[in-house]
This record gives sequence, structure tokens and C-alpha cells, in this order.
Amino acid sequence: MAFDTDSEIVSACLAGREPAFEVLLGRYQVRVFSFVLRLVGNGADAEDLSQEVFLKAFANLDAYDQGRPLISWLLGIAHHSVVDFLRSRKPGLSLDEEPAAFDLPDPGPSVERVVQASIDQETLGALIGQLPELYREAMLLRHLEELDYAAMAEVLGLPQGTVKIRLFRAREMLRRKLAALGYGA
Amino acid sequence: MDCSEAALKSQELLDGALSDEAARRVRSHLASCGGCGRVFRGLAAAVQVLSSLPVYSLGPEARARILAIWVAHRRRETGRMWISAAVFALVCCSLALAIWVLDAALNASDGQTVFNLLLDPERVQITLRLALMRWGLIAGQWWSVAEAWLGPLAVGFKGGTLLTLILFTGTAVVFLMIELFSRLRSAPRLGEYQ
Repeated sequence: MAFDTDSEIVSACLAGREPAFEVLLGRYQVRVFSFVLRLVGNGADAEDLSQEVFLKAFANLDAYDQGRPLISWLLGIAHHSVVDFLRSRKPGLSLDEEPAAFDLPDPGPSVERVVQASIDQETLGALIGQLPELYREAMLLRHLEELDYAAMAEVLGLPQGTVKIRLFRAREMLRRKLAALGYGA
Repeated sequence: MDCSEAALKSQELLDGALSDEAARRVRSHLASCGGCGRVFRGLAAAVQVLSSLPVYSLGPEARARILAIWVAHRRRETGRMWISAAVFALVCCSLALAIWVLDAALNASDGQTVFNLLLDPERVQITLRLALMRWGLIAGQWWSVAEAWLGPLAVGFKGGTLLTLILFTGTAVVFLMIELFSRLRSAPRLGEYQ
């Protein structure tokens, strides 16, 4: 069964055609699972959360606005599921707090060499894992999911200005971590 | 452009979110300011590194499990809907039979019609209570059927439950009015008893 657009998949799901749910899952599971896995850092938890995301999405498809990209809607559900999960593990954690004003970055040591360096994926994953969830999520939405500012704001339920600052801080933190490790030195 | 503004704009430059004119101004600042230029090159390098982030896939078992849970859930919901509909139909038939038996018994006992009963203050209360009971029961069944049919559709809609309550309470009230009105209309005129 072939579906070209998100709308066609969703319409088929709403009509109760079971293969359409399989298509939807197959098309978006990599993006949702990768996003959740990077945020929670544990394969078993990420699998459970991804399952929760898709079951919630299937049950609420009638609430999906077909004028929006389906991935933004799915990542919005994933965002809320991850926030609930992380809060249950770390009471008091907030992924929705407003960041303070943007600080002027410290130039620090140059990390230009990293471009030529062969940074291994495990180290890169560990560096990203060290970022606070708040900033890690913004970075993943931009660089893993390749969403623009508007879509990121929609997923996170925040103003675009807040999203930009969160993303900028995340990059700045990563830049400093890479520099501190002296990659490519 | 000062360094503080350049810090923000240079990141937008990395994301390709600036107009040509704004991009030109930022590049000009980065070229003339050593600190900002160094930060920008570092950020560009970090962004390039991020492009190599690997992606992961759910295992086939996990995907199969999600679909199995969903299919089982849908079948449970469909089964619940049919059971509710069957119960509703059964209750409606029972109530229709009860109403028919009651009317037949009233006519057989003293030849009274419901209109005449309404003229008797004591029987008015009984008649009204009977009507309310009947339609209260039916409204209750409508409610359970509505829960089964509309429940899944109302998920995510905050006013869903309230809307369902208003809709079916309203339906019950309308039915009650129709019951009383039809009995009044079908009753013989006063002149026929003289």
C-alpha cells in the first residue's frame, strides 16, 4: 500500500485501515526513537517512550492538524512524554523554564581543528549527553531532526526567541566542550 | 553592530535564517572582530560535527509490539461499542414492551386513558414519575453508548465530556416532552365523555 503524503496516511488511519498505521510507524520511528534516545540516554527507556509516543499519536490522530508537518506533531508528543519521564526521575527538573538573557560567548581556545578531526560518534554522543536536557533537546531538534525555528517552537510550545537562545546556548556549550577536549590537536 | 548582537546573529547565519543584507553585516563584523570571528569558526565547526550524529531505529520486535498493542486496543474498543449498542437496543425493546404493557393494563382495568390520568392530581405524579423513570433509563443508555462511540473521538477535546453530557441530557429532555405531548394529543377530547 503506497502513501505519498502525511495526509494520505492519516486519512487512511482515521478510516481504520490497519496497514496505514504500520506505514506511519515505519516512516517516522527512526526520527522519533533517535530523538528520544538522545534525550533519555537509555535504549530500554527510549523504546518504552517511543511506544508511548506512537500509541498516543494513533489514539489522537483526529486531533492532528493536517496542515502541519506530521513529524512536528509527533515530536511534540515525544517532547511531553520525555518531560514527564525525566521529571519522574528527577523531581524539580524543568525543560520549559525561560533561559536568562544570552551571554556573550567567551572565545576560548579555537576548535577549528575539529573539522578535520575524526571525532568518533561515541565521544560526540557522550558530549551531547552531558548537555542539560533543556539545551540538548533544542540541539537535537535542529541538528538531528533538521527542524527550522518555527517548527522547533511548535514542538516545544515556546516562542521562537526562546528557542533560538536555547539552541545558541546549546551550541556554545558544545563548542566549549569540544575545545576543552582539544579534538584534532 | 556590537559583539552582543553579532553573537546572536552569527548563529542565525549558521542556520541560514538571515536576509542577504543582515548576513552581509554579520560577516563584516566577524571579519573585523577577532574574538567574534574565532567564536563563529568554532561554532561552525561544532555544527559540522553535529551533522555526523548517527540515527537509531526501533528493533523489529519493538515495532511489531507497538502495532500489536494498537490493533488489540482498537479491537477491544470496537467490541465495546457493539456490546453497548446491543445493550442499548435490548433496553429500548424492553422499555417499549413495558410501555405497551402498562398502557394495555391501564386501558383494560378502567378504560382510562393517560389524558384522564393527567386530570387526576394523584395520578399526575405517578404518570410523571413513570415517564421520568423511562426516559431517565433511556438517557442512561444513550450515555453509555455515547461513551463507547464518541469517547475516542472526543480525546484531546477538552469540552468533549461536557458536550456529550449536554447532548444526551438534552436528548432525554426532548424525548420526555415528546412523550407528554403525544399523549396529550392522542387523548380523547373532554366533550367525548359527556
